[in-house]
Amino acid sequence: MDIQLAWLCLIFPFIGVLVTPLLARISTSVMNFGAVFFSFLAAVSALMLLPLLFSAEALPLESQLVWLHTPITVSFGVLVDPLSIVVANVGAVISFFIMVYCLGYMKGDPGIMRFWMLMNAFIGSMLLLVLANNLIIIFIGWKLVGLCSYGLIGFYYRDEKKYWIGGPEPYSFDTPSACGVKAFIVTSVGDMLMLGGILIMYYYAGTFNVLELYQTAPEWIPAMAATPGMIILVSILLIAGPVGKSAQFPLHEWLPEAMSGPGPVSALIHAATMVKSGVFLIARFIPIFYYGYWTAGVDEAMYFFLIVAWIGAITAFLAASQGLGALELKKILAYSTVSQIGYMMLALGVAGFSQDLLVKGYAAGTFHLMSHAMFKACLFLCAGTVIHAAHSIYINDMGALRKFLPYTWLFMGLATLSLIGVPPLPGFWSKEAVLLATLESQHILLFLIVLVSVIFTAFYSTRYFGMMFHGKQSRHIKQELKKPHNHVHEGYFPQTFACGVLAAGIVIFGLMGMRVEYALYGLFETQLGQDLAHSTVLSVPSFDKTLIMVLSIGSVLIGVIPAYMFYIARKWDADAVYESSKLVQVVHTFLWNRWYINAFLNWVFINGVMGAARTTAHRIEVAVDGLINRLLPAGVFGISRLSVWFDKRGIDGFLDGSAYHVQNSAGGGLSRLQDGRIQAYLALAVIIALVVCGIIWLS
Amino acid sequence: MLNTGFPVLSTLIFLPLAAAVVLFFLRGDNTVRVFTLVVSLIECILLAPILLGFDTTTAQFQFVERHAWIEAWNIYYHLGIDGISVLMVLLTVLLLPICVLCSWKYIGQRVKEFHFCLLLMTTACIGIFSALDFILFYIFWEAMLIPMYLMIAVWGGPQRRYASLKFFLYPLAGSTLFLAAIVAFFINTGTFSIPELMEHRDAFQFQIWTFLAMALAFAIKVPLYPFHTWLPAAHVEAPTAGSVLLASILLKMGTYGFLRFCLPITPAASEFFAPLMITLALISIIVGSFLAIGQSDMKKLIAYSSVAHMGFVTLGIFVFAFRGVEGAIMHMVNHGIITGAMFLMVGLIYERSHSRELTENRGVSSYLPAYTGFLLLFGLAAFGFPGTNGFFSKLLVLLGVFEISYVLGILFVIGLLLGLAYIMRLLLNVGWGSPSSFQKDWTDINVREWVYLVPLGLLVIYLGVAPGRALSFIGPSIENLLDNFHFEKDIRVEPVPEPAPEIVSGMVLEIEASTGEFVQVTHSGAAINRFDHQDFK
Repeated sequence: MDIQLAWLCLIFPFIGVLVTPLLARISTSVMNFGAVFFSFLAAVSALMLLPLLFSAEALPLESQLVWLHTPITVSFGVLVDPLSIVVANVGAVISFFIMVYCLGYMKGDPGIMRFWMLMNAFIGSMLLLVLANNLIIIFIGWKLVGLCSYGLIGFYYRDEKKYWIGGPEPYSFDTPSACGVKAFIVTSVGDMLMLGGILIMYYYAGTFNVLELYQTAPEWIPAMAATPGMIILVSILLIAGPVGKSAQFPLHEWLPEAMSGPGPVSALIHAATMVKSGVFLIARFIPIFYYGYWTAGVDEAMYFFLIVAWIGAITAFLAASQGLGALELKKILAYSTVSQIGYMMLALGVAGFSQDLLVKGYAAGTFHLMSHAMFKACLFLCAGTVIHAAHSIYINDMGALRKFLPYTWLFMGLATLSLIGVPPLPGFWSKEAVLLATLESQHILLFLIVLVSVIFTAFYSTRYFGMMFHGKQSRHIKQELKKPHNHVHEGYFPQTFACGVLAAGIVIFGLMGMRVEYALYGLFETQLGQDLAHSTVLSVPSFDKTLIMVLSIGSVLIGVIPAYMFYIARKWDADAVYESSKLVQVVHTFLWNRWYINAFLNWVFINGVMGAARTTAHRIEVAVDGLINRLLPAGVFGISRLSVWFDKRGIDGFLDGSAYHVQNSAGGGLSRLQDGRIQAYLALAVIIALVVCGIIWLS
Repeated sequence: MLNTGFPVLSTLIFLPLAAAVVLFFLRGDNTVRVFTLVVSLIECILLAPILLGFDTTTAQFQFVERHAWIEAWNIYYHLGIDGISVLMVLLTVLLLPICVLCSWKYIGQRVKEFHFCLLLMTTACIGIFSALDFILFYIFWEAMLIPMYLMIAVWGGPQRRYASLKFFLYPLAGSTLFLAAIVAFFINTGTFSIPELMEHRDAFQFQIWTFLAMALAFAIKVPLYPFHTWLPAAHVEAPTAGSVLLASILLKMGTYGFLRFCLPITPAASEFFAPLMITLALISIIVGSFLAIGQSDMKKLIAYSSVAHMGFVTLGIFVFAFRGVEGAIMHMVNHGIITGAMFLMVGLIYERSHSRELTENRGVSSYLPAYTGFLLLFGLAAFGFPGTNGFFSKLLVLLGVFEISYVLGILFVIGLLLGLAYIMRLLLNVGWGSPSSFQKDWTDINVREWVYLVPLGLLVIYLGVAPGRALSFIGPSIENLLDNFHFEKDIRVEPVPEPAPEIVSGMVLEIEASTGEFVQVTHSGAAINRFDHQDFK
């Protein structure tokens, strides 16, 4: 029964996709509730998988249908192990609350049928990728997630001006359809490289099945290591996929633009589905490379962990710093997602640094994934409500909204505190687990980078919260309030309800924080022990967290206090600081332009490829065409002209000339013989006869 | 089994020809259209024996028909299909009704002649894929050029004279070399039979030259990079049905030729020239994709994308790995379906907006939703989205390529990414955004259009989700092909020191023995006699 639940869990959303158009025939409200109902069923099936965690020794469970025999065996199956249960629950349950929120948020939208179908397909694809038992099915789910995100980010595909993002005014805007394409192409860069990595791995291992890959690692990892550099290449290719999907440096630039879809879509992308899939996949690959380095003794395998950890740390810092100066609410939240995913990557990366850290890092990464999913979903849903209420995407167009949206203020406040990492909320526990794992890996530089990012996170979180809900009303809000039918109030009930449930979840989860952490350690110890086919040498985790707690809370305070003074208490004036200091202005421009990475990538890839394409199309192609289609005929016609000339002058000339001379010279001369005198004829005849006889006699 | 008795292939070949003759006695444009449609549907029904009776366990030629034709020259009317050709025959027949339907409104003048050309094309194409005798093959090969030439020259766009001439001359130049290779084979072995030639082992030097002669003909047809310039010209000017046939069937003849002739008959030379072919294929992929990205004309964009796609196929063939070749054959079929469908989509929008420029067809999704849906589906298939047929065949080719070299694999991946770029550019410009020109009388896809788009859409999904059945058709033949290839490729037979005149005289004597009085013989005999006489003196 248990394994059937996994099947049901991933099938229900897809049934929802198929049923939605039929339900639409009945009535719109039936369709709305039907679509949400199927995501509810998926969430229930996922929740019913949870009891399996208490008997972790019975896992992993696998069930499969053979899909293809020839030429490669690809099975279509599900794999249930602690990792997939945890991530599937995060995906399904949080998605369900997001769907509930959509009941209010999307009310009356003309494209609502398309919206429900894409949302359910999105959830279904995520569950497919999480629960799949082999890499090809994972890849299919992976690409489907990308496709649905393309459809949802570009949901307002008609590109009306009100859905443009970017700006404000002097800065350039982006249209939703272009943002969708950007997300799709940037993530596909990673996907395609990852496909290459999977295929190289298949070439050595002969299987796509995840469990078989783990089990046969002793055979194929040494074979792969026999080629120098091969494992590094495979690592880079395999990491490229998650780097694209989870928006890590250097493929992180699509996520800030991915907010051009409806609010709940951002919540789904950032919290429950898309960006989490990369973290999930890295976690799937970890046993392979861990085995490679620590058991098989292949030095190159360590690069996998080094790359993951450094990418994670760099991204955490980079994105957090970009969040400091941004003005669009959803963009700040997007930067924070990129940054938080960086923490997860870092934790998973340090998991391979030493044998003690494997379970700690693995559990810390997954734990942060869970807590981040909760608070980020809540943040985005609240942001959707606030943006709708304030009728602006910029936080400087808000201000003092606490009075108008009290519930949202409360829920978003809780989620923000969790993002900052205030005890006892889940963000605190999970961030602390990540920090602890990093510190124990003894890479002080990594640790310092992350600690600085914690400060940044605290600052920008307080900043946007203060600018939204506290301080003075902005001019924009005052104008909105003057309108007779303004929206400056709470949203529909389902919206508030969904935010409330998530906020309550954050509090409960936070209170159970330590307990959850212990549980995850136990689970992953069992799981990794089985995957690696030997008991991991795990010392009991040292929960001497005092130092980490002090450092963590200390850096949070360093970030929060100035932000509080600037934006909530309004004791200090941020504008005055900006005006007075040249350095602040320079740094602000640098951060505002996203470290110029976006511009650089645009310049190299968009302009570069288009330039190359135009050059090829308009220069080289013309040249090749000319070469073959001008030169060749020219040659042919040249030769033909030459032969015509030769015909005329050479052969014809010879013949004509001969004819002329025969006619004029010889003919002229000989015709004189023909003068009509019979004696002459006779004389000629006699002479000729004599000559002939002479010749005959001579020979 | 249905495998014996009834001459399925001959019927498939000659039914359209007979129908083409009947066409001349019909009056009225609609009668002609309906008649051709009925004939094409009968053709589709005639596929049933092949679909049901094709033996998927053997690599032998099936549905073989062999009758003496010109016995004096050892020429036979020899037909048969195996795993390499069966899918292409199926695709050719399947596309005929689609071509008729898509030209229903578009072709308004000289309707009878157009359908005449269409039927002749079908005859020639099925003939090409099922002929097992070089002379028969060559006749079909050349015969196919004429109706296509007429289609472009009569019903084409404004530049049709230039394009049709280019289309005609370019492949013709290649085919003359191909003819030279055929004659060389005949002189060397005394047979035109393709299966017999596959058994024969030629000297390495001889293989080199015949391979080059054949490969150039096929490379022009595929087309590989520097020989591709006829393709965009022809595609842009051809009517929709012509473009569909060009992209789906004609281009495949080149890669079919590689598989049918180059690999089995000249294995050592194929191995020798593989690096060259792989390089050309990679250039086709990368440069073809760049060319496609740089276009603003939708039809040109898809035409150049064909160059890139056929590069994938060629690459898959010349890595000589089972999966590579399997992927190549599947991609021939899949590309036929996808690109055919993409040309249909361009034709549909052209019938409405009378423009193929990307900038003049922006944002059609708001008023042509079904059209955009199909465009999205075929677009996804074109760049190989998982779950569509394009993904599967590219995956197989990629597997084959990675078996050979991962550097090639990475380059391939870059090609895939560029493929994504031009398709997304097309979708972004045509599908989304604010409309650029909108006439109220534009209607979404009508019933006739649904009828021919739905089967293609279903095939895209069916071959993407369950390619097993199609793969089982081609498996044994590829195994056989590659077994023979790997067995023969290293054997480089040294040239047998046989003086040329002896072969000639032997040949002549053989002919003399079989026919007695023969002008050629007496003439050659006289020549030899004179030769002898002079020697004697």
